[in-house]
Amino acid sequence: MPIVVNLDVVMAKRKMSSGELAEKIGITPANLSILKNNKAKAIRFSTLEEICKALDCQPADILAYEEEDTHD
Amino acid sequence: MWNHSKSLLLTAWWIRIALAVWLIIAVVLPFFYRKPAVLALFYLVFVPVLLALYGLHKMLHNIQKGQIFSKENTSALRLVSWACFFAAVFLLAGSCIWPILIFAAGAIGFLGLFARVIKNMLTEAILIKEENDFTI
Repeated sequence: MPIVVNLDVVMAKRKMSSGELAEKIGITPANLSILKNNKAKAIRFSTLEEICKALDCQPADILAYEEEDTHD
Repeated sequence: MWNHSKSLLLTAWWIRIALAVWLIIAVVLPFFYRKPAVLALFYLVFVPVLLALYGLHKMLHNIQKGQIFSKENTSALRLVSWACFFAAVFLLAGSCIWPILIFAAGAIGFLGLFARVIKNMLTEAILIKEENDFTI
């Protein structure tokens, strides 16, 4: 998927562990892991809002668009 | 009190009974009918019907395990639909000898079509569920 989740980068900057963040935003560590590992298909605005609140950042800090390699 | 698990159990038993009856017919038929055309047509139809019953049994087993939206179920439905189509083709060929079989061929062909539509619906449902499961 061309949308990349850079959650681990922001978490490292804020020195926040996965367990702590999962607890703060109210999702399970398993779901946070899906999000961190770019396995998620979509993210709810409410989850994004909680993440931004917990990590004191903007959505653009977490999400990035990367063009896919296309082979003709 | 009648409930969902009892309904599943009843369906499972219906399939087992149908399988048993179908196998018994396959064993005893040569003792009653010695016409090669009848036997040839029966054994041609026997295989796809057996496969369809196996597919239904497999699907029901998955439902009992709680695995409804699984790829195994779509492949089982695919098997059922193809088995129905093959049985319909054999019966259609048989209708050249016994025209009444054209109705059976039509009915089984319709069942195959029905299974195919359900299979396509289940495939879409699995995609929707996957997307829902991976929405955080």
